[in-house]
Amino acid sequence: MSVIEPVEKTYTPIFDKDWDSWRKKHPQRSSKDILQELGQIIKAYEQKYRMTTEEFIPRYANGEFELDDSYADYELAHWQGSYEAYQRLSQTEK
Amino acid sequence: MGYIETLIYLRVNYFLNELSNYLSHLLVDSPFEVADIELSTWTHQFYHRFYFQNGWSLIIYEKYIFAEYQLKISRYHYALLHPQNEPHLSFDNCPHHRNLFTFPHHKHFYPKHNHSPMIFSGEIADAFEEIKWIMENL
Repeated sequence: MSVIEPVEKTYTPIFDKDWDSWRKKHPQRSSKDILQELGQIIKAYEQKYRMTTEEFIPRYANGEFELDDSYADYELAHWQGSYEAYQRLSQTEK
Repeated sequence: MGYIETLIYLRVNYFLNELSNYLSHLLVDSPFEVADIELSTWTHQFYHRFYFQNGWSLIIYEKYIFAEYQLKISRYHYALLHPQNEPHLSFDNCPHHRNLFTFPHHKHFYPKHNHSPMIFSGEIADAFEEIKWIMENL
């Protein structure tokens, strides 16, 4: 009887070298830099969808946009996730 | 990097490797922005658009939480877009389609009102495999 060896799936990190060389060239970003970047992402979505984030968050949570093709659901998820990250990092800043 | 950040780094590394295995021969050969991964480790989410040589594109979005000592994907969207920027197919885990046995994982063809949501395993490699088939059979 032959024994079937389990195939171990391995993967090679594809950007380890990129990461190291990039890190040498770029200073570590602070949470302030990241907050600024998140603020820009959130603002861009507010402008695109003509809605404030305060209005968007509860409507998104209620699933209002799920079947509406005029909203790109991946962008709405990114918007919501960016807002959540913004809130979390703001708390850390304090 | 902290523990959560390292896990996010490894997750992103994993699916970029899968992406490379399935689709590198079809994608535009552009260097990946390491800055995006650094942003992911801060924000606990990944968002990037990859372009195919024929003008189509793939958006990968994942949001992470750390629970029970593990990194979990709390929300994801993998969307294949036409060159005109319109979605053709997307995979996600929004908890809306409880009738599917793969709930919350499912996929949509567009326009959504013409196609019922369909089952999806939730594995990103399965999404890449289907996208590969579509791109090779256009």
